[in-house]
Amino acid sequence: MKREYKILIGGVIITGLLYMIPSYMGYIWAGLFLSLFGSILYLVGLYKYGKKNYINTDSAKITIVFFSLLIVNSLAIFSFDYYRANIQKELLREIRITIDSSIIETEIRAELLEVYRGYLLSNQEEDVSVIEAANSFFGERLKDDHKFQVKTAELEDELNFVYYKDPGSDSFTIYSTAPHSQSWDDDFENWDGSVGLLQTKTTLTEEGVTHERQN
Amino acid sequence: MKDKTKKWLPWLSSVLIGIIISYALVAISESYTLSSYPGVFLPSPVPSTQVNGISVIESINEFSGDETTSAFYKGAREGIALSLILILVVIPFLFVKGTLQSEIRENPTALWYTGSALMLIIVIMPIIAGVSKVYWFQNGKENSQMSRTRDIMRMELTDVSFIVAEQILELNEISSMSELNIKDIPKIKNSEYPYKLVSNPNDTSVTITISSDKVNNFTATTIIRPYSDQIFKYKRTY
Repeated sequence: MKREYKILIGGVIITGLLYMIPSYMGYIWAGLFLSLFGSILYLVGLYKYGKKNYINTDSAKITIVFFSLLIVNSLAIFSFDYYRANIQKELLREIRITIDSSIIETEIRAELLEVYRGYLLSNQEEDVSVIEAANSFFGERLKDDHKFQVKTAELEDELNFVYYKDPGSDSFTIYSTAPHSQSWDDDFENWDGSVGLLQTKTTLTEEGVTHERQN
Repeated sequence: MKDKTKKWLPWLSSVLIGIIISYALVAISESYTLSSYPGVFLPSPVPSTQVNGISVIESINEFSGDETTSAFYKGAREGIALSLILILVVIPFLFVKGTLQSEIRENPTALWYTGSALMLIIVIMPIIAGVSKVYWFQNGKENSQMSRTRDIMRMELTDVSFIVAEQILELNEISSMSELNIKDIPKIKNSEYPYKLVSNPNDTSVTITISSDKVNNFTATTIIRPYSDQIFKYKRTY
């Protein structure tokens, strides 16, 4: 086999494999850049082969200009696309977090505000604790395993809720977690054993409702 | 002069062939896009665009918690490998081989025309694509920044509405609203956006408005009815 075809086959194998292996392992961008690196080695080999065999010296110059442009262009556009992909990924993550946070706030905080209203009204006539007001408002929605059943049932496919009563401080808390929203701290331990997810804590006390994003 | 003209003629032909091939590729790609064969993959002179496509699909999967079933996603990895091999290996090879062949025969051969036309495409197309990508990216970045600001404003308004609703409940009646000074609410005091609060004792409601001319005069309003089933209602007024 002629040397030029050996160079070609070598180029196909090195460029193809350096892309395919990381790509199937889930590192598609690493595959793209590795494949570009492999092709640079191939292009250097091909250029040297051409230079050695060209009769006209201008041909070597034209070849090196084309190959250099090809490498520089590819590197620039691959890098830009990589940067853009990361921005898009972050943006989608942020949008998801915004949506989940808003849903949690309008669903959970609003309900606890209603409980607070009930608590204030009840206390005009008799002495009722925050926990008693929450028990009476939510009733069977407070499950034995501490799961909190939200008013909009469909939300349970996307978000998880648990409740916690603290008779000592007379407070009622709902923790909400969003399984599809990776949040600020990747090492944050969520109440359900998952790690790094968006979690909020909404607490009702005799002083009102507080809502905080824990991660 | 005559020699110089002769030297450029084959290159001019290559440019023309390159333009024809580019148009043909665009036409084929459009007809496939509209056809019922979504799995067909056409090599692109900018393979990172397809990689970006996969990356976006994966981000959307993460966003929605679903697995994609799109034909593009399934066949894209192999398609991108084909593009990379064609662009970074085969076309440069055709160019070198064509040049060697033409030098031996002392005339440009068909292989040289093919190799140089394709070489011109893969060198020029990414430059055009790059410029257009940067333009659209800048444009999109400004829009997403505005959208982010609107989200922040909406979230802030929601927070303030909860605080105000709670304070009204504690005051026990809407008529006591005059006792409330919204400037005392730290969230409003520290906010960079102006707020307007109007109480309507007639229908026992309070309206809070946030606006900003930095985001095309975006204005959002919540109507608080502390003693109704829906304590507050959100609406975008502009």
